[in-house]
Amino acid sequence: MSTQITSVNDADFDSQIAQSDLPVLIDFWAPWCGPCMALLPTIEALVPLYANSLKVVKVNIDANPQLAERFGVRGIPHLTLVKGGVAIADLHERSRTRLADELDRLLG
Amino acid sequence: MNNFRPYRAFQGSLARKNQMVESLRAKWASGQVFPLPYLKWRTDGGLVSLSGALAETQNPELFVERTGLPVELGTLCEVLVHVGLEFREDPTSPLGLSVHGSDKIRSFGLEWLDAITVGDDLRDVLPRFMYAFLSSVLARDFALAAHVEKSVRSSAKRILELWSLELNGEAVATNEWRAVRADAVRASETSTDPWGYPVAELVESCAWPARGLATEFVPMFQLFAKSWMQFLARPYLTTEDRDDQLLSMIGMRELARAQRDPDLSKEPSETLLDRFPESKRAMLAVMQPEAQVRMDAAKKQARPETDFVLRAQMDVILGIIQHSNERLSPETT
Repeated sequence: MSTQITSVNDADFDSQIAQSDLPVLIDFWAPWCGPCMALLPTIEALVPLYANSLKVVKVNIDANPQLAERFGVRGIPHLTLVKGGVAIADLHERSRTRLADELDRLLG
Repeated sequence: MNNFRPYRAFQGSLARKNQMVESLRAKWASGQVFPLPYLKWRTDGGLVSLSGALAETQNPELFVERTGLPVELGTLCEVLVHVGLEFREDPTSPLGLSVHGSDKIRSFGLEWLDAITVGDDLRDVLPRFMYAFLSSVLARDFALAAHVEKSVRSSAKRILELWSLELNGEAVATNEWRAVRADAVRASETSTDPWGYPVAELVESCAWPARGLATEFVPMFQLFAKSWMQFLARPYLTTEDRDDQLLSMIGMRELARAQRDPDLSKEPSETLLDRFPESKRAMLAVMQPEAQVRMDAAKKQARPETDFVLRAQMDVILGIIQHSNERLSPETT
């Protein structure tokens, strides 16, 4: 079955994202968003590929508007890579091949 | 002791299958459910997908628990129907929306369910379909065949070889996949024929083990099918529309490239496209309502061709479902 991705909310942003030792990939989504649902298996497939180098979390923008605002989310799905609580890149790719390629480059 | 096996079609119960499928059949016939590319279920009167209505959930784990079927099999079958139908606003229908298209496309909405033998494990249907589909894309009679570049074809053949090994139970080393992936991305990056882009992008996206990729295949297929259907409708467009379509495809590729560039990725799409004024103009032109009307008319004219190729894919799925307990071999696909 699918990999479970941690859900992060406005309240636990600091502990889950800002203070993370690993870079964090945030998947901004909403339950009504079809393309977000379609992308989720790809995001889940990335988790084991970057088990020791990346933390992957998801943020429901309906429930956590402050986080969406903080990262300038204007449409979903929206993927942001964060280091030390600061966004270092938005990822526009949607296939596992290209996302892995982009993450390899960004994570060095 | 718990003998529950999640992937056992309808948990081996014909009564369960009949109850779930007949309930769905009534809803499909009365326009209460729609073929959607994702699992969708709600009780407040909004859009509901066929798979969502079948299991009365949009939770993938619950879907599997209730039906014993892989979620992605349901959504793939729905996407094939979705691509072949036209959605129209319809104030007389329960949800203000109705679908139109030929019976041979519509009927597949339930035909794949009717073909299932209760108790079968259908986890390999999608990987086998992926194998069959990619093989068909490489066939000389495939609509886009003349636009598939040699390096893309070569990567696709290698992917098929590795999938065949995997589906027949042989191990494939991770580094083999890594090498195929690198080749496929390189082939895609260097492809120059705009109508070859969709094939190149499909091939590079396929460069992973089939079983692990199956859950991600439906959006890949949907994206590819959109271009494929547009290509089949192309003869019915004006020369000007066809030229804009090509420039627009080039623009989309350049936009994706620019968004990969760390120095440019934060720029708005509009700004990035300013570097390609002809493509930008064409991309805006094809989005105009009049151009969309012309594209819809072309798609209608191409319906016999698009129905034919979609129905052929549906028949492939039916064949795989009916032979779901046999192992993959080139002969069975």
